[in-house]
Amino acid sequence: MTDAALIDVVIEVNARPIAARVEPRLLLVDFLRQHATIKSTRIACEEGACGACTVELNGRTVKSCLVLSVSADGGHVITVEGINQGRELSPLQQAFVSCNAMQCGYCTAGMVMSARAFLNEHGQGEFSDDDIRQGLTGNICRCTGYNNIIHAVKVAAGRAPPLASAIETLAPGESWIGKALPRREDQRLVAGRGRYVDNYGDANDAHAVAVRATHAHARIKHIDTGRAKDMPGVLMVITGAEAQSHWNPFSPSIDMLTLHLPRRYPLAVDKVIFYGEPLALVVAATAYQAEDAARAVVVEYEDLPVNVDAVQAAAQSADSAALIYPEWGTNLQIEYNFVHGDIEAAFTAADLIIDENIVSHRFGAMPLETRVVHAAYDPGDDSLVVRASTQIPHQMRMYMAQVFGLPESRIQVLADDVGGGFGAKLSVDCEYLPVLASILLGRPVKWFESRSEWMHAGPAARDYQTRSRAAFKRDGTLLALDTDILADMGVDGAERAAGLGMPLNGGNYAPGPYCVSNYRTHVRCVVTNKGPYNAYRGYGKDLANMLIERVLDQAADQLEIDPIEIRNRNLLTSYPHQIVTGPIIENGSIREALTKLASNMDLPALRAEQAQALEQGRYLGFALVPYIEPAGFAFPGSAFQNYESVAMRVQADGSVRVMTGMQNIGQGIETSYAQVVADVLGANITNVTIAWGDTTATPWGSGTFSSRGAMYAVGAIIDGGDRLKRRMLLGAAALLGAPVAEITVVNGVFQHAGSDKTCTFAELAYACYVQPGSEVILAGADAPLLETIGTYRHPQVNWKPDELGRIQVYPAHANGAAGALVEVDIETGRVEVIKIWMVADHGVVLNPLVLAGQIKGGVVQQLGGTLYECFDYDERGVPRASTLKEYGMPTVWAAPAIEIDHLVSPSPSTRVGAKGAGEDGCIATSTVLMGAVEDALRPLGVKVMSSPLSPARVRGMIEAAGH
Amino acid sequence: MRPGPFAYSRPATLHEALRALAAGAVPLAGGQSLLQAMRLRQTEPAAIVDLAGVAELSDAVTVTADRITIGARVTHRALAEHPTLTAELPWLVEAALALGDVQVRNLGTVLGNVCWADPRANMAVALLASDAVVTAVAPGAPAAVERIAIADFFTGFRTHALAGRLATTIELPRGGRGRGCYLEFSRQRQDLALVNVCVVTSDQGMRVAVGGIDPRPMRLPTVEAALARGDAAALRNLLAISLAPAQHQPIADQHGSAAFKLGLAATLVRRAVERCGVPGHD
Repeated sequence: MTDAALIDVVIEVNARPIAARVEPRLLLVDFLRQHATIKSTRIACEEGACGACTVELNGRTVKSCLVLSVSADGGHVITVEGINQGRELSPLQQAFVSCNAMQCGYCTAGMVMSARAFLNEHGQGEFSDDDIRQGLTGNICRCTGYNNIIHAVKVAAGRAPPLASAIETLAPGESWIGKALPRREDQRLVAGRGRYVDNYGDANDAHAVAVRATHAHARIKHIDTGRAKDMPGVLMVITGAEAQSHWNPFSPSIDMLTLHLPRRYPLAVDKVIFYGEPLALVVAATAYQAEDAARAVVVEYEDLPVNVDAVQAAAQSADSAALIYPEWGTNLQIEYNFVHGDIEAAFTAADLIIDENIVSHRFGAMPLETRVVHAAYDPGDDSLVVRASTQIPHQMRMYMAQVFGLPESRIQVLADDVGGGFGAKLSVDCEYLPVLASILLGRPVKWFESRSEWMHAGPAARDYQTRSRAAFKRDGTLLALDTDILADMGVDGAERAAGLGMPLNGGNYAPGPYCVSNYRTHVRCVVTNKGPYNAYRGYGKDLANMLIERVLDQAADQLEIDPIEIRNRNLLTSYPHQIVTGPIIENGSIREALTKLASNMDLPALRAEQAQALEQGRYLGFALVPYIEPAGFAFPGSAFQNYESVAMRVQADGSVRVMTGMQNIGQGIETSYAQVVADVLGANITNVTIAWGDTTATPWGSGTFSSRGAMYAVGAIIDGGDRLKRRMLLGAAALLGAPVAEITVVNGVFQHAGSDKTCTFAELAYACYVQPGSEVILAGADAPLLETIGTYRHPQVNWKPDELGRIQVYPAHANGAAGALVEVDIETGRVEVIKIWMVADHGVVLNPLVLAGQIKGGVVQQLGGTLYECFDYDERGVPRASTLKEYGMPTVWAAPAIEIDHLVSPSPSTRVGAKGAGEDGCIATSTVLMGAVEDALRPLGVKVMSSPLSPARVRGMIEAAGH
Repeated sequence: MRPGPFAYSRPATLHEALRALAAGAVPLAGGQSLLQAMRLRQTEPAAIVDLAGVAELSDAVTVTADRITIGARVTHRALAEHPTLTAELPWLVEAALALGDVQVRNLGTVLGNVCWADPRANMAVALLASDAVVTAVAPGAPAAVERIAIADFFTGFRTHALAGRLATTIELPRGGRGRGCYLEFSRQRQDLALVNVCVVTSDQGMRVAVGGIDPRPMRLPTVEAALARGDAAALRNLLAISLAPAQHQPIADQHGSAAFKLGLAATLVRRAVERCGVPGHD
């Protein structure tokens, strides 16, 4: 673009005029980020669906990605940075904090701007929840499930009380653990100061864009990069073949003996195996130029047979041209069998056999922040700094070292705030691309995956085709269960992604909390020419729940036994309970949860309401099931280990810093871990800082997955905290001249009961660090310093196989029960979820506000997956969805009322008593929605054994039943 | 992704805007559909003419004794807030409020939505049922206002009858007492419409417009005639005939088969007729 074609614009941003000379195509959102140093307006889509870039322009909210900066010339923009009242948050922002109306924070600035516009317009008058929804329709939140956001708007308008209020000191006898403390990270996130990868870097960064396959399975005949190389701003164009000498194949996420690994490179070399697979990389001075040039790369393909159907893919012969990895001789990435007891005898003896094909379609995590990397290689000292949006910074460093052959100690991975993960950022895939570019160019390179790239080639999950057979006695006793699972891995579930364990979990956990010793499972993970298969919240426990619970519902129906009764007849009767496949449910309240849920739902009243509705031609239905939530996955042959450590330091000013290898992805660790630290040390909670996301500063950690933080990180904090506290009490005793046994500590103050003498953390720390110094103050301590490494290893993980080859990879089992009430419009097939009930038992809860947020968010996420979301492919393997709208992201209208109740069975093997939490909502929601829709359509004789429950499919089921 | 490069002008007069148009520039009003398509690089115009500064293109709804005129720069929000439209043509307000979200309605224009000419465009369907006229001017003749009946405006999937002219207003007749109803079906509430319908009954007769079942929004004349005759008992059958798969080409996508969408259309028409209170509906 010539200078003459550039246009001078002046836009007033938060009352500050910003002048710049811009290309006409520069979007307002990019103007704000590049020229106005505004970072709160974020990009999460390409179609103006997500609203994360919402700002006020000339008095009206707009999506700044759907406005040209030249069109906004002379206009006035207000962003969330402009509504903070000095350093104080506005009342609306405070309401967001007091209601935990954010988790990862990526959508928050835009959400606040829309909420503010709503309140400016309607805040003084009457308004309903649906009016609020109307105001927030244009803003997608993936984490919260929206209910807390709606509540926060009401709080800001003075129509509802906040869900929590800040506390800074502890009353005598209280503990921080268990308090519904507003999240400390929210102060930053709600002000638009979240530190996501795209905040970092500067105008000197080069920008990388991948050239991606437009065929799903084809040989690459020729790649012409000539025209792209000559385009403005282009610094480098490199193909997979050219790149091959610069790196090693992917470093696998899971590496078990019997597993096939693809051994692919981050850029395809001689053939492409899925639509959207990167095959060349373009680097240019700006992201706009890189996108232009990427489109100028011309690729010639020679098509190969495409595998889009898992059943057909699994049946391909060893010499088929359709094999994705001919060297495997099969499309099966792994096959797993387990059998226990006499299955055939049990089925022969059965009074009733239920035999169902149960299908869960392909959907996935879809965090609002896509994968983003800022890579800075310094050729001077051969060092590499990678900023990335990841759940596993330490494994990422290890993988980077292996792929690029660099010493690990020269690599630093930084992961600050992450805009949602949900499992999808548990592996390293395209993140290598900008690193390669930075190494080859010797300068910083940024890569920001577009939403359509994620849609076409990003991580997907679920996609199970199964058969579940069960043998019952007439009285409802479950005699045997036989499950067969075929899971579609796309091109890979273990190397560039980590989803392969999900169907295995489905097979291993299908017996669930029920007493059944005759069990068989056959699991096949088959590769097809779809995008990679990655971990997703629920991780196959959703499948396990579906396989047993849908079958129990059918049996109850046919045996004319109440659905709760048939479950009570088969549920485990004592703890610990070993599932026949090996896992040990240590304790819990599975029966109590189901009973409590049934009572909370008031089933007789629902049944009456249903009958009354039916008389008016409305079809209501409900269902309820128990669930277990295995947590803390630690698996041999993977980078997911059974330990975690923290580095803890009381600093010279008395503040406490805890450094963890866990990653903050929106689950609230800055708050809940600080609560534990404050309890263990007696520290003033406002002086506790949790630091994460820096492989150089924190101890090695397995990262954030499988709901493990409340056990592993907390266990490590307790271990280190105990040690530090002993030293500090010793020091305080020396300082106060009193016996250790007579000293207590709370809120950061040591107190001698006998003399009323006190000293603060700050005074003690200064005494240790400086005057008189640690040799005096900490004399007699196990070590003369206020710093330690705490570690935790969960005693319930066991990798030593028993005589049947069984191990325990999940050390904890939270449990609960879930219920749903739906209405089905039988003419259109549309399902409205009216209400979801949950009774959840995670042992002792660290922070009930955070836990409730996790549950609600998970419910709406899985509800979205079950009803709307879909990764769909045509017969050529081309994805049908490119945008969030096409995919079916749940909006604020999708969120039903959610009622949560709790039971508490403290974990027997963590001192706090906490089990894992965070995945409940994604485990049973699909099952109860299927059950509830089936219940609604019972008068029409419709059976519901598959998803999605989209209008077209539900209408199809009704039609198939003859209506 | 971001839009590809283009030349940009923001003229102050209609004359200049028409000159840019004649030179091949694509007009930009609210941009809420165009920029989306440009970001996805589904369309890559070489030049854009931004209409925001054109004095002759109004951002007002003007009301006279016999006519309501919606200016080229009237947003969905402005339409929805207009008291005369709310009182006399509430189905247009329903259609505007069902469109997109607050942010999109704040910038997106009614005329822009019509000119985008997507068969499911809310305003296209609602106006098709409203006896609307699109006025347009041709480059070189800014004073010669041409009138295109809405029924002749849509020519195919996202194509229209403007043929190089610039649409300047939408005119709606006043006076007839009517009732009407706009309904759409989307997977979630307030989502993209898969099928939408607008039914208007007035002393001038019945109008039934449907979007999403053909490359352009369509009227259903036989259904209209039956309803006008008061023969609502036949509605279900007539809908089945009028919406037979052989006669329509619903927009192909992953959200439902042709039969499903035609079934939705029939359901929505019946519900809209019922809401309008047409006597004798079944």
